[in-house]
Amino acid sequence: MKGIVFTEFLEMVESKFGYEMVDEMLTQNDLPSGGVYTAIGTYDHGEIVALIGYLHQKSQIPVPTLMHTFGQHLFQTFAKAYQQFFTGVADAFAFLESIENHIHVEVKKLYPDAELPRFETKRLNENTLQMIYRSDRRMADVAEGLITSAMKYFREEAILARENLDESGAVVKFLIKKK
Amino acid sequence: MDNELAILKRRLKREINSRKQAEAILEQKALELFNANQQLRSLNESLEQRIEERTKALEISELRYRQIIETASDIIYRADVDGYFTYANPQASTILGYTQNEIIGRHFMEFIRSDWQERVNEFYKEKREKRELKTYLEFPILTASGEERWLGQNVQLILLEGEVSEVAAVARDITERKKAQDALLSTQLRLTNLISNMQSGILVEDENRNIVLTNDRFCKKFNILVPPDALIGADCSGSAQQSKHLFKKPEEFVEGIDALLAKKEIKVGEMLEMTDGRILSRDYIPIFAEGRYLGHLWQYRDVTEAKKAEELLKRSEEKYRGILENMELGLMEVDTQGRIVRVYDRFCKMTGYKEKELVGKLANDVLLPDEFLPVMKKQTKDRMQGKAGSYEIQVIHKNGKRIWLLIAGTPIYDHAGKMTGSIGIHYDLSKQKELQQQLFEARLKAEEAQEAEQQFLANMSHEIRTPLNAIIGMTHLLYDTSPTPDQVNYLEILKNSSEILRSLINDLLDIAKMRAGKLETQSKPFDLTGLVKTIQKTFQLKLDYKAVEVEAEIDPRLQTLVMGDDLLLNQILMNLLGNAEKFTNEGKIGVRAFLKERKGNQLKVQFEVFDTGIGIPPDKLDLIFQNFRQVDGDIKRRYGGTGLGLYIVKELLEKQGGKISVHSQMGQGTVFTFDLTYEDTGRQVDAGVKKRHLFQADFSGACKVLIVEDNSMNRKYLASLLNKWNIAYDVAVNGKLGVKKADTTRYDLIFMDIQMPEMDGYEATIAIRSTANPNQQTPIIALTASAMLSKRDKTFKAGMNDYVSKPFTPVRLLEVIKKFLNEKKLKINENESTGYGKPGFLYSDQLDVHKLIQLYGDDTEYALDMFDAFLEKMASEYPLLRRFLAQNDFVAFGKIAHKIKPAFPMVGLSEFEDWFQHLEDLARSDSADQNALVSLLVKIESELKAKLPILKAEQERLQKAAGKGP
Repeated sequence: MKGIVFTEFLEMVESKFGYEMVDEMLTQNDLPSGGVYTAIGTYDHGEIVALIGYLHQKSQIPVPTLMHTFGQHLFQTFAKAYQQFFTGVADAFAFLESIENHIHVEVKKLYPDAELPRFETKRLNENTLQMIYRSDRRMADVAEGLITSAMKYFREEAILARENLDESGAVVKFLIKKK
Repeated sequence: MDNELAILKRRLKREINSRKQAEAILEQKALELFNANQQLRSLNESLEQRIEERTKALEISELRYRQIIETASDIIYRADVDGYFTYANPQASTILGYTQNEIIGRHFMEFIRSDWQERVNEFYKEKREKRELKTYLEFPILTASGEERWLGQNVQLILLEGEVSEVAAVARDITERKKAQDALLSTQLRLTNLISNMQSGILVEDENRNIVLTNDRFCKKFNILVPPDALIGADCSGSAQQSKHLFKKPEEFVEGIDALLAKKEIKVGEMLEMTDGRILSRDYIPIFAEGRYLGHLWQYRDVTEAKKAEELLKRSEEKYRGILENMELGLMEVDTQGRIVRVYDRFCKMTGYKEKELVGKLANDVLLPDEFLPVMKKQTKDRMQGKAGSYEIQVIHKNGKRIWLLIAGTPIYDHAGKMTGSIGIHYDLSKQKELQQQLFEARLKAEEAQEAEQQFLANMSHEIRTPLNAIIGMTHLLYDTSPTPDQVNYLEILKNSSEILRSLINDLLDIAKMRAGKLETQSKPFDLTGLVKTIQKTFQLKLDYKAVEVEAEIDPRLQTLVMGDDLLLNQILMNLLGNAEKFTNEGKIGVRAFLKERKGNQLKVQFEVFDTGIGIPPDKLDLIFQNFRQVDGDIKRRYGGTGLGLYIVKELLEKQGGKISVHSQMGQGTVFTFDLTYEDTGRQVDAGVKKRHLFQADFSGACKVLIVEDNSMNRKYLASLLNKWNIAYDVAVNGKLGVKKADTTRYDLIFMDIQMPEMDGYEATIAIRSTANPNQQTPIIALTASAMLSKRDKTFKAGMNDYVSKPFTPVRLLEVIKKFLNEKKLKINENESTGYGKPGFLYSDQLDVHKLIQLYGDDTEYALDMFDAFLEKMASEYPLLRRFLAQNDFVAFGKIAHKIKPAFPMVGLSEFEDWFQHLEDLARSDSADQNALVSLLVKIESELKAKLPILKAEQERLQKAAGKGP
């Protein structure tokens, strides 16, 4: 898992709960990386699971909510840091469609070893976009947070419907219907 | 504070570690970038080397092409603009037989066969001038060894800056193909020659009507003076016009050709007559290849000779037809569809039509009346199967009248043996048919006349009989008036003459009946053995005065009841025995009956009637069965008779399917033999009686019946049965009283006797049916003694519904009652009698106990009634017999005998019934004889006297049994 996910997660925890929480999470969990992350590094996925799990225990906030919020946070960061991916993109659907075919392609060029979730998109009609999330990481909640933030970013209102296509949550279908 | 510090320290450490980690990653990436750069540089440096490699590869490829060229099976060469070889592949060397070096530098024309050089040269010169860059030409060459080979050459002109700089060519050895082509051509040539030399005139044109081929014969036939070859390619479109003058019908000739060309269908054997007298047969054959029209072939054959021969044949045929025509035989030819192809004058004359009105029409439509269609259809079918036949039909003349034709029809065939139709020879039969009709009518009239004559004869015979009976009766009365011996003598003559006359009339009446077909045979069960024995007894009584024995010999296998006509058999045997008796003065006469053959239940019985009389001369044997013929005049004088007896016997036998034969020896006797077939009922004569049932029925007084009957015995018998069955009844003693009763009371059923005084049954029935009375619809049942069909018919005609033959049985009576009385009104219990086995009233064994039990069962009251009635009747009616006999009134005697007869079995004297039957028969027979009757009657009387005390004793016993004191 790319280091930016860790750094941004810790960034978010710090801003919401203070660095004490960050320190506690990193100290209390037995992390292979020793709790040292850099945005361009790559780390074991289990570590983020452990960190989110720990935060949930401490805060009693449900894991999905945590992940959703993290997704929203991540989007804000991406929007600021990677402005080049937003120039010339007309609306939220066009942006969401560009994730798989453009953004991830660029990411792969820089990080050939990056393991990225897949987003298969399909326009069912003018106002409806179907998006199928596939990842063994089962972090569809993060994806959902990303999607809602994207809609907000393009100032578009939409209803988001979600359906697990398998039991584990590795395949999830999102239906985004513009109002 | 410490904690915060500790956290801060940890954070710092993490930041540092994180920075170091990032630096390490960045360093790694930088190294990768450097390596990539290095690779790019080395790639640039190897570029030059790679070009060198590619150039080398190109050379290899060129080598490969060269190899292909060098190993190609076609000649590949290059030449300069002037035609000199600059390159030739090895195959060129192989084919031409020169080395490659020998070829290069030489001019290509040197290799071409000399006679083709100019042509090839011209070709290429022209193509070059026209700047045709690609050309193809076939030409022969000569190889080094002088062998000729054919090449098919593709030439490509190579241009350099717009000018021809070089020539590249590929030439293939096509020698084999050329050879094949030549072979084809020579075949074609041979065919052309063949056609040219054919005996027919042939003209082949292509699709544009240009001549492809023709021959000498064709030119000759059409007077064309140029040789056939010179015509090839010529346009024929105007040729028909040019040669039409050669034909008798020039315009038709031209039109015919145009029509054929337009249709493009095969047409053979068209006949064309030419002005010079020749006849041509023409075939037109269009030529198609793969559906494409390529032209056509004309074939003209001179058939003048064949036509002439045909014409001769036709003339000879006409000659014979002419002869047939002169013989008043009309000829007509039709095709297989029945369409008229040809008719000749005589036929036209017969039918009134002109030839043109008939030819082309369907013969059946024009000429045949509908009702003869089936005949014609059958004939047509026969013709189709190649059969000839003759038949008579009517044909409708043009004037609408019908004529009769005798037709002999036969199929006709063409030269190939295929049936083309049929020809009929017609002969007008109308006159003969008219004659036939007249003859038929004449015969009908004659038959009617004969019928009338027979009717007249029958009527007359009947009318004559009545006064004749009076004469005979009076003659007998005269005997009692003390006549003088002379008068007795006259009376004898009078008596004999009138008796002969009566017997003659009886015979005539029989014959008239037979001739008029009024004699019916009827089938009912009867006792054959009993019948023969009865006849025997009758003759025994009759022949008491003669030294002649009467024998009867009957096959013991004939004990069962048989189905047949007993009356006719009786008459036949009586006649034959009468005949035997007449010609036999001593010895014996008799009847034998044998079972000759049994097939299933069919019994063939052979009867023989024999005598030991004077016999019949052999030359007269075939005369005796003819009517009015006797052996000779002497016989007639000596033995009398009408000569009709045997004729009647023969007729009666034939009526029943039998045949009589006779065997005789003069002075020894005669045997008549005949067979009759009867159906075996299988019932034993006696057993049949035993099996009968007693009937007990109860009608509960719900209905009422009228009995009209003059005979008191019958009346009583009927009444007692009705009493038994609880049916109420009224009685009338003659027809007149019956009608009176029917006028006032409504009855459910009327029993009507036929022969009654005052008014007979027929008249009474007609009266009831035709006047307004309550019984107009009431069923009337005839009580009749005769089952003769005519009488039955008469009962139905009079309006009666059914009949019961006397003597009637309870079974039959009940059957009729049930048939006509409403079933609801009937509550009949039919119970099998229990009287047989039970100890009831025991009748004297001197009487027919069977019969009595059968009639009465254990009903003694009923039996007593019948015994009372019988004794009463005997007292009153028996004396009449003697009186009529004394008066020689055989008719009245017969009537009384007939009336008394059925009473005897009612009291158990069954055998008397038979005797009385003989009395009756004797009285009625043509040979009725007072003496015989007297002797029979005396015999019967003595028997009766013996029985009377028994009857009286029974009457007393019955009174006691019935609880009625005397």
